[in-house]
Amino acid sequence: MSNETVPAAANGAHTADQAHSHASTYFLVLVALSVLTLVEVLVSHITASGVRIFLLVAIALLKAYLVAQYYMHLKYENRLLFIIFAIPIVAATIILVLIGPMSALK
Amino acid sequence: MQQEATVGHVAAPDTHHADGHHDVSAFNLANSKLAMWLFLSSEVMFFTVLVGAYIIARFNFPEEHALLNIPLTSVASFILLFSSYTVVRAIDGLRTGNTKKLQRSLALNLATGAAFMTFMVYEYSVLSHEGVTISSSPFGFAFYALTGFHGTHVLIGLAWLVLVFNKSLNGEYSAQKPESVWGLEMYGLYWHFVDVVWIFIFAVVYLI
Repeated sequence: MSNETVPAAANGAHTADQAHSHASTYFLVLVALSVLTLVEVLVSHITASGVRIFLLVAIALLKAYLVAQYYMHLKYENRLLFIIFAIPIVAATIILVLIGPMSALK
Repeated sequence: MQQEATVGHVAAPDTHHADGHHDVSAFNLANSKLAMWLFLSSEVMFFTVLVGAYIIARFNFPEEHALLNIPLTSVASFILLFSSYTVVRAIDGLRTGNTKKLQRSLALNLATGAAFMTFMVYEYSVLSHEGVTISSSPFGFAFYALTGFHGTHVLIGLAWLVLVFNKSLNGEYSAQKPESVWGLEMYGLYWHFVDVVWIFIFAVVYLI
């Protein structure tokens, strides 16, 4: 058993107004993620590579945002956690966007 | 263990204890939660390196990329997304005191996680028969390194899930025990992170 002693607001235990079921929100997010995945597969058939890559990256970022915000509860968390997680995501996106064109150069 | 709060009852944030022990950071966050998010953030950079290496290989070996099975991995992606839904459903069941929902959701989580791994093993098997192996080319190395490390994370998640599921069967989770809710949420954060990584792998490795 954990030896930690933490207040409810800090350890993620939900307060009175958060104790109700979020089931409908979670299901809507699942539907959105499924539809976006279907759109991704359709977008992958676009022949213009620039448009295809832009749309696929945008959709992937949107899907990740939905999972982080609603399933990982960042929406209800301390803003600091959002910043902690957003910094490497932004850094990763910049690095990968730069690597793409560079790797095409021979 | 000293309990300061229960679900549905809010204790005022307090970072000081009689013994001088501090377990809540200056940002009013439990240290374990802060540590988990810092760990996940470091994992983002770990996978960024692997994805970067894959992108370089991908542009130089387009013919091997054509062998990837998009329909199969699309189904695997749906399954992994659904597995994330089962985790939040399990946590929702715990918070609302619905033990059956908690246990059924965790069982479904176990099934979908195992199904995803089965898809990956099948894909590896087909690709190796096609001649794409970890030593066949830089593409093969980058592909297996990236998806292999992700698969390892899924396996670790499944091992953690077995422990979590066993605890739920033993009645160790209760909405009246905040630390048990947080224990399940810790697992949930890890599993969702694995899902987030797959979202990018699916887009970059398979679709672009």
